[in-house]
Amino acid sequence: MARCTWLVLLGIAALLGCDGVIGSGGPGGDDPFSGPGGDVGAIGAQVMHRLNRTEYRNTVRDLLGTQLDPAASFPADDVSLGFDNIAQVLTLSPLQFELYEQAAEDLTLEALTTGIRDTIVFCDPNVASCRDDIFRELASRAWRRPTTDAEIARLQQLVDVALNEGEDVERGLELAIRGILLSPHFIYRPELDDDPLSTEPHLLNDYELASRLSYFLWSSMPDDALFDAAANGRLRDDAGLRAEVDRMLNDPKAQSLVDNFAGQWLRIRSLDDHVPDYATFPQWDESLRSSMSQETKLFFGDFLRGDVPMTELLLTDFTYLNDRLAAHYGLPFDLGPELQRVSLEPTDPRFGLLTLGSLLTVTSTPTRTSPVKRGVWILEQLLCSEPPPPPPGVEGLPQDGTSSGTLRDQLEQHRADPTCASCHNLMDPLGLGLEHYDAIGAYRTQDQGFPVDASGELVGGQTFADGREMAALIQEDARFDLCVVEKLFLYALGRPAGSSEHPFLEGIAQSFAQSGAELPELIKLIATSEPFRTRRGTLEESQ
Amino acid sequence: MKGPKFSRRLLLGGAGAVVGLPLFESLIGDAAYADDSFPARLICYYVPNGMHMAAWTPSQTGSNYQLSPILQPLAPVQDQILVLGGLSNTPAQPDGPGDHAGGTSGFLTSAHANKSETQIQLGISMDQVIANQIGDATRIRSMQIGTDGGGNSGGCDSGYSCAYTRNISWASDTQPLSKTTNPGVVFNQIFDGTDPTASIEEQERRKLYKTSVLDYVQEQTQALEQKLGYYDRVKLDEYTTGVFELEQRLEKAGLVCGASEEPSDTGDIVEKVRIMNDLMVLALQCDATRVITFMLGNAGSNRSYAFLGANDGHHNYSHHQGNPANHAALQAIDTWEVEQLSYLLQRMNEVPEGTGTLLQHSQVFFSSEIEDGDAHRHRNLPVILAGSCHGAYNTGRHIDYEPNKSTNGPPIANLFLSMMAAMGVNQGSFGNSTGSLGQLG
Repeated sequence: MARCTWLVLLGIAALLGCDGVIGSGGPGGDDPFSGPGGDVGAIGAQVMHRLNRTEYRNTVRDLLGTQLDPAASFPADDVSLGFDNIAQVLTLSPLQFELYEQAAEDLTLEALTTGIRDTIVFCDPNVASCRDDIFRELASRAWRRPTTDAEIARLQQLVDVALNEGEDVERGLELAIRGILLSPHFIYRPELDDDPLSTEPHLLNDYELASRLSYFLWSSMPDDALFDAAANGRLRDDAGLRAEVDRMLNDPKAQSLVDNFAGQWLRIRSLDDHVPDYATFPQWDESLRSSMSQETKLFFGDFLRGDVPMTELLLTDFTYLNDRLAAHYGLPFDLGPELQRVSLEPTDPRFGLLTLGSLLTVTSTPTRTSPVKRGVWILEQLLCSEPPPPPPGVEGLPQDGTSSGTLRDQLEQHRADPTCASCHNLMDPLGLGLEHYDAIGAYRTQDQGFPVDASGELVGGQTFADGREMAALIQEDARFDLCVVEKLFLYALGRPAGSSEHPFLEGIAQSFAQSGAELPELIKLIATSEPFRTRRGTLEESQ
Repeated sequence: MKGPKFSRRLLLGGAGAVVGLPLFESLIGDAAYADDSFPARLICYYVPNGMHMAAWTPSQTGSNYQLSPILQPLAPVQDQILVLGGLSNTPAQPDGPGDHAGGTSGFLTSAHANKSETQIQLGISMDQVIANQIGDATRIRSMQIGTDGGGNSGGCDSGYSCAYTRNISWASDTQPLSKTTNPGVVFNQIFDGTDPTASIEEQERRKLYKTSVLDYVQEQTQALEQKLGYYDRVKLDEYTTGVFELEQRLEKAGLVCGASEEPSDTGDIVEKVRIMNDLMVLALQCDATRVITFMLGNAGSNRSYAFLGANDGHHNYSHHQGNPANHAALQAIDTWEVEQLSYLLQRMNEVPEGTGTLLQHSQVFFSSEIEDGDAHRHRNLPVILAGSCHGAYNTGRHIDYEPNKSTNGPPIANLFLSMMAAMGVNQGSFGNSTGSLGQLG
């Protein structure tokens, strides 16, 4: 009973499976058009977005300049499609609400009793009109839109609660600010439709668009300049939007695209949770982990700044190393403890994204490489490709004890079974092309006494001799360009593109390729796209 | 969180990060009886990746059974537990791969998860059915606790959202209840910010202020709701529930109950599980809540148990391929998990309540999302039911409900029906139940 036991032998059968379907609407899958509102209109439905942990943290930082980090004790946000900012799964439990309430109280106390106070309380709060100004200023920033007079008046009523108790205005301010910070307008990012039942797309208002932009680029609230651009209608045309994107990408807060977009797409964050086996890899330590993490962040930073086009992501002639990492990679650089940009030769065994230590490590098990995991990662994250569904019984219990030979031999045995081959012909060669890199990303020519053979053949018939040649094939794959667009779109909007939005993705991909494929341009193309600038209502409870 | 708040401590002392229970005069002897003046309480205890069944299942059934190797740590409480075999959870069977997501989402729901990354659809969990009925009696309707947040480790399971792999408590078809993995948060939940140094007037005033702020945001919520479409209103409803539950809690008196200082998270899993076990005992003992769910790891956890000599990941080992070395590693991990359960039960047994103990007044359900980690079966689930819950169960036995392991035995939902009944919650049916489970009494 051969069946697809190798999957199981690799120990990842369940978590990866054959149908790691990512992205656009597979059959019975995640097409948002089959979700809220049904398959109507050319624009996908956008569900109201709760600030996730990162967004909350950054927002209170930018709103108040707090030294506190209440988000550190929030429950983890559920992840879908590889990202933690997918609006539909950002639910809110009573526990989370309780922690929001506590956070509002703690943040307010800090704001009123430290230097933060001067930035919020800029006039004499004993004067009612001054309090109006204080509330208007703070609430409009916290809620990321202008406030109404009625809203301000209602906040004054919270002051009255304290006054009626015989306490001072100070306590009243405290209550009002707590209210502002606990408000659903703060916790969520509401976007309104004139007619919530109409599926006809309409433009977002200026402030809603400003928020989409700032949470896309900064994982945080808009700054004064962005509010100003919104107030003056400068976000209504492409030129204005593009100018804002340029300005915002130059802000240090754009690092959030590295930490949160690349951090999840390229799995840099996963490195924090990954524990290689100490007995197998005694050289693994915190210094190596943080060096790898920094390498990938700095590497991606070059693309984010537009210094290097995305068409070179898989084949670069540079990376960032320090002494520790250079030694780990076996590269003869004399560097200090700080990571520096180094040039790579075509003969070096490092050549871009796929040879970054962080990625090679997190796609391994604690004790050894997993060509299947690596292959699946490439398929899902770089090619947005759906392998065919697995055959039934794929996780059957084998009766035949242990196997021997190289991973390659064992995988080949496994693929001899046609039912297994359907999936594994897609993923195994991609992973085996990286067998020169062990489970913590060090270069090797032998694996357990066997010489490493990293050659292979892709399903399309293209052959390669090693990882570098394989990377070139992936880089040229038409799916790669579109996949980058798809991933960034998913992150930008907090939802996957629906099938009827694919023309937008394809149009963006085409413009992107023609423009020279620099990442800032892709960000602008997405920010100025119709799905990003518009929204629509949903039919009531339709499926 | 460490805000500029008053410190919440400590009517009884204790050292360091360890939460201690108040010491009573003596342990309770065997002659203790359940005391009906104390409420029934529930803990559901989840461990990932199934069990190494060959070393889990006792070879005899009935009351004179020998504990299996993995169950050995339960010897001190053997007379207070039931080992249940042969129960199945067929709704947990996923569509294609995804047994960890299917099994975990179905763990307490006996519902079938909609396979999707964005369209979350499942069913209410049994702990929440119970909390809906008895939760108002305590300040906290129910608590969700765990050890692993989940971070960002790529996909969760074969096209299923991580919502299905990281939550076992579900308030509704669409709302998973996220768990806290932070001991400090659990501690503060239990003690609820009650400041024993504040005067009655001051405490009343603080309550009024909290209520005023909650009223304010609730008004805003209602106004906002008018302008939203259906799906956004569903989202906002979660917020409204949060407001409502917190308002309810304010109506209830602050808790006076023994504790030591707020525990901290050292990052050490052994320490963390022990602290969480202590906190669960404390929460029940203080009657802060009567319903708790606990996840010792998320679905398909690949934690390395190097301290047990199991250096590779748990999930990797669980696909053991019949390899004896993998079996040995699994047995070490599974035994350790059962030790944690045993510690919890023994602590509960040390809490005297009238003529009985906390354990006698409680039921602790312990199981995993699948049976064998390699076969990924959703039948013959490894189940321990501990505590007699006021004599609802005749403990001290091993019951096998389906000796033929290739056949689906009775739905585990039947057990859930019986467990609900033991809590005084009588439901006609739950999940795929066909009736209450026999032989328990």
